Amino acid sequence: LCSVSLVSFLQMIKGIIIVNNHGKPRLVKFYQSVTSEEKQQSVIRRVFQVVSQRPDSFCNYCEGSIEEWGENIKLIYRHYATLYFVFAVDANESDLGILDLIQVFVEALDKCFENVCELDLIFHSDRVHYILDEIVMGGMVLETNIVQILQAIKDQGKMHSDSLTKLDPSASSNIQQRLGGDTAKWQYNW
Amino acid sequence: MASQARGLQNFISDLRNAKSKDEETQRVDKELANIRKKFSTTGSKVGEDGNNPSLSSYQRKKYVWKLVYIHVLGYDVDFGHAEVLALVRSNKYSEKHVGYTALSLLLRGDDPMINNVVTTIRTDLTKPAPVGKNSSSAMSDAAQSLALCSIANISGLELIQALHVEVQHILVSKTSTPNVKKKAALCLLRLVRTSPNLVAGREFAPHVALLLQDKHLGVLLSSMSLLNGLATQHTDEYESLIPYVVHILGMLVLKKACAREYLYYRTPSPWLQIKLLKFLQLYPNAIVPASENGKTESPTNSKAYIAQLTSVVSKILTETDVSDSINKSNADHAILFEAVNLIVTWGSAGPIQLREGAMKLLGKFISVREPNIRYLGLMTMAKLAQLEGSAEGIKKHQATVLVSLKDADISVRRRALDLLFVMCDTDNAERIVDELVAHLVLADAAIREEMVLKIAILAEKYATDLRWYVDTILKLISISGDHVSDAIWHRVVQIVTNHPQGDLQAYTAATLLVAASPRRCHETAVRVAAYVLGEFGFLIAERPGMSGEEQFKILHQHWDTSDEKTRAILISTYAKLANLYEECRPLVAPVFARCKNSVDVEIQQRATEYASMREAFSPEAVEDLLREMPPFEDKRQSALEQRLREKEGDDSAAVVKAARPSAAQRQRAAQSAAAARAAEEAAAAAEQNGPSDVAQQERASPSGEPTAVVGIPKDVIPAMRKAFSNLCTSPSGVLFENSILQVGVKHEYVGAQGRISVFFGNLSKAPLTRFRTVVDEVDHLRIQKQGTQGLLDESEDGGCTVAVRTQAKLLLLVEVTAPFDDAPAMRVIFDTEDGTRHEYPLRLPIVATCFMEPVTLEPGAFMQRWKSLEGQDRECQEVVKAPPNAPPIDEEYMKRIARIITEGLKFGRCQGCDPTPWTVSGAATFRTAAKDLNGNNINVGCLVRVEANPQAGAFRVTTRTLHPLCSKAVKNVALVSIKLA
Repeated sequence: LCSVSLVSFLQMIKGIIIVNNHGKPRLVKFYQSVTSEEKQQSVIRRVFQVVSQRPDSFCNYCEGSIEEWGENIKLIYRHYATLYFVFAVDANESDLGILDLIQVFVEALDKCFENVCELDLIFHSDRVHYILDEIVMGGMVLETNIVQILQAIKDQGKMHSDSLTKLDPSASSNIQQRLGGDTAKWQYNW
Repeated sequence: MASQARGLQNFISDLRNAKSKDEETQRVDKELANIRKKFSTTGSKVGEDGNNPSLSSYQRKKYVWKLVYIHVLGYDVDFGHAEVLALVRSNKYSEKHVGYTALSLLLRGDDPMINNVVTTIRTDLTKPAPVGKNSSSAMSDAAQSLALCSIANISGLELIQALHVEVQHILVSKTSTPNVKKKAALCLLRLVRTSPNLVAGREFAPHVALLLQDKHLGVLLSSMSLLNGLATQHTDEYESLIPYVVHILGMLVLKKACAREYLYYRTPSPWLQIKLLKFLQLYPNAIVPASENGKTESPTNSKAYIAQLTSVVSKILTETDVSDSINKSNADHAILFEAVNLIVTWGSAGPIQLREGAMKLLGKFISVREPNIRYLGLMTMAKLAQLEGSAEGIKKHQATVLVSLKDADISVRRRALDLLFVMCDTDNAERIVDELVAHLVLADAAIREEMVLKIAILAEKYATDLRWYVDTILKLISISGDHVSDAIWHRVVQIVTNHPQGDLQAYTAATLLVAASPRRCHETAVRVAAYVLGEFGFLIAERPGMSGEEQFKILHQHWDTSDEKTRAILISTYAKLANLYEECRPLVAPVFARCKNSVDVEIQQRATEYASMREAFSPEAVEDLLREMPPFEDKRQSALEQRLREKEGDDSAAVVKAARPSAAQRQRAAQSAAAARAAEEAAAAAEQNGPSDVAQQERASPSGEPTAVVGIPKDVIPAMRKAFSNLCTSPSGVLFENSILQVGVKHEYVGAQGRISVFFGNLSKAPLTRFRTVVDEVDHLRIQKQGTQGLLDESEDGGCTVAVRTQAKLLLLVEVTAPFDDAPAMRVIFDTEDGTRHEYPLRLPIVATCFMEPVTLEPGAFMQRWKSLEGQDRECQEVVKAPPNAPPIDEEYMKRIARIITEGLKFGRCQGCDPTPWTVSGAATFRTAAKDLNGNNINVGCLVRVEANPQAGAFRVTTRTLHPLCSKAVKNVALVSIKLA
């Protein structure tokens, strides 16, 4: 029988890295742990090196090996203005599916931050993580439906404020005020 | 949702304003010190696990987030876990949320901290929803979600062992909300991956069946992820769920029944469709009706779903189109590619129209401009190519694939390379390999190693003529030697060693000698050349320019630039050369002497051992030590396949392809196996009968099968070389002789034509059967052959019988058509009485000087022509030492040299040009039968001078002719003749 061997059907997202055009990481989430901070940084550098050399006219896939994760790693990425959204997956994920997932993630960020920009990711990394946790969990796709994702975030937000007993007036200070003109959407470079 | 604390914002701003990495580090260190101080308990009040209870909720969250931020920046954070745990334990959602998120970012699965947190996680998992109060029910849901999420993210063994029962319970519980359920499903999946036997399939499958009937698509999606994970590990146990999966697919694809919010750019949950299709790929037999399947007891034996499944796949195939919206197009194609994958797993069991449809679509995809679709098209086509009967359809696209091989995008090039590799077969191998080699010149470094490996595998797999394989690997070395791994050249050695049939060994030796001739060549070429010449150099030693001494010189020019590994190989080769050719010994001895002091232990040891071998052992023992290596064991998986597997994983199409032996390989394997068997039998027979009783060895191997082949015994090689050289300059003599066979040659020439008689005499005590000769066709000679009946048969089974003490005769009428510097090859093949096949590659002494006609020139005319023929292409010059045992060079000696030039090389002596006895000058015309434009025969004028240096005991031979090949040929014949003088 000429069937294809299907032994390793792991389908796992090894890690998600958002990095800007200059190689500064803006979100880093490792689902397959990497042993040390130093190694994590080397993975990020390597990922940036690979994707940043590819013009936008190329396809959104890069195959190759990342030492810390093994030989058969595929980087599936999208480049939005100043940011690269990179998902590192093993060879068995649906390639186009991951592209859709990145799109869902970006749309969700955009809804939550009302026109998301790089600064939002810098100053609200907690919220970015909360959103991501509603989409991907433990390296597996949890939810792809944007309505559901936004609802979950909204519920969380409500509970969050409910649980705060009228303290920290300073916590909601206006960033825009302090940053002045430094808020150009998606245009900001480190 | 509340924003982050201002202290954190300020901290981030500070870091962003840092002008250098140092400044950033300083700021981080300052902050770490500050946080450490805040966290350290003051005096009596110590919280659980040592946290500081006096911190406010706000402060604790703020500092923990700072720690997380610092950690993400790449700094080591080794404290603060107690505060994280305090947050996790809190009853306030805001604190719990921060706590759990920090926990999964800071903790790894093997962290000893896990023990401290297990109890809290368990409480959060199992907390029953309080009745009545809405808000705290939401809170317990949220706590469950957070706990599940961090178990999945951390996924340590301890956590799994402690909590998997609770996670399973939540998943199947009726009271769990959809949000919790979907997280529980994924959490369980993560746990199952780490410990595969956590869930017993037979009991759990019905629970999954219930989950698959959930109305919530989010729950369905997670359940499918879980199911795929489980079914991959224990496929049989979940086969019963196929009908549920097909049903959901039918709803989504055929009825488009899908909650509006799960439409992604108008496509019903593409993610779920992909998962469903992936699940079905685990069951290639699902498409086969039960009665044919023979599995009557299968719970799915009615297979009512087959029709539905077929129409689902067919609808996906026909209704997908390139859409305006890139996102819509992506999603639809994602499903389509998964459907094609499913068709591929069905193979020939699936409906033919689906296979053909898939092929047609892929053909379209690999020619579109959109890079993602083209990339995936190439990838999927490589999978499809594994199906039997798909080859012809795919080969039609060869030209299109070759275009993608030149794409700017390396990802696309990789896929094209992979597809070419998979679609390669005996018919198109040469074309594809040549294309790949041509492309290798331009390919960038990132893909070269992979290309070299794949080309090497293909060339070996599909070579109908192994000489082509050798040539291809040599090209790889010269184009991209750094990427030719040891495994690749070792493979060349193995294959050449294991194939004594034909002239592969001699061909490889000659080709490698030429490859190693330039001063600069890749070190890998030197290594292979050294090894192969050590083994098979003797097969070519009688060829002009390829004597043992010349082999040594060519190899040794690379000594200074070689590394220790190469030198070790060279030393072994030198030992073999020195053993075979007396004239090499004085060249090799000083090398060994120097290496005795080498800092490299391996080299030192080899040199010392080889140098003292002759004193320490008997000549027979030395022969034994330096004998050719026995054939290599033919492993099922070559090192190259192994490497490919490491790189691409088990289910790569290329790996599957590489593992399947080609027809050419099977044929070669059968030959080698038969040869090995015959050799074994012969050895066993010899042992039984005792070595003296040769006549009784009558165990002929079964006729028709290829048998062990005996080549030219090494001990007759030196004599054979001498005989050949002699024959080049004398009209008759013995070309070859051992205890079985004597080959004699008589040859005479008039102008461009020659008449060569070859006699094959049987010296053994029994008839030689299936006696044949094969004379290679060469471009520069027209050869007519006549011989004893059967002698020139081309088939393996033909041939004549040569009775004891009789001869077979071969007559060759040759006419030279172009200058050349080689001698034609002749193979002599026969069986001895015991069934052993002998095959001797010989060279006929038909060299360029055979066709010379002497010319007498006046000294003035000689010098004028000599000067006019100056220049690189026309002149050849080499210095040769008189043989070590020769008498000193005197006038008597010079007369012998002059005789060689006049009688041997057939040159006219030009006495007037030799005022002293120490030079010999001559002129001749090389006659060919080729005509020029005016209808006259083309002839080449040749001049030669030999100058002696009696003090140095050396001669300098200079030839000048109009044709570079003639210059070289005359020089070579002159050199070997002088050595014999």
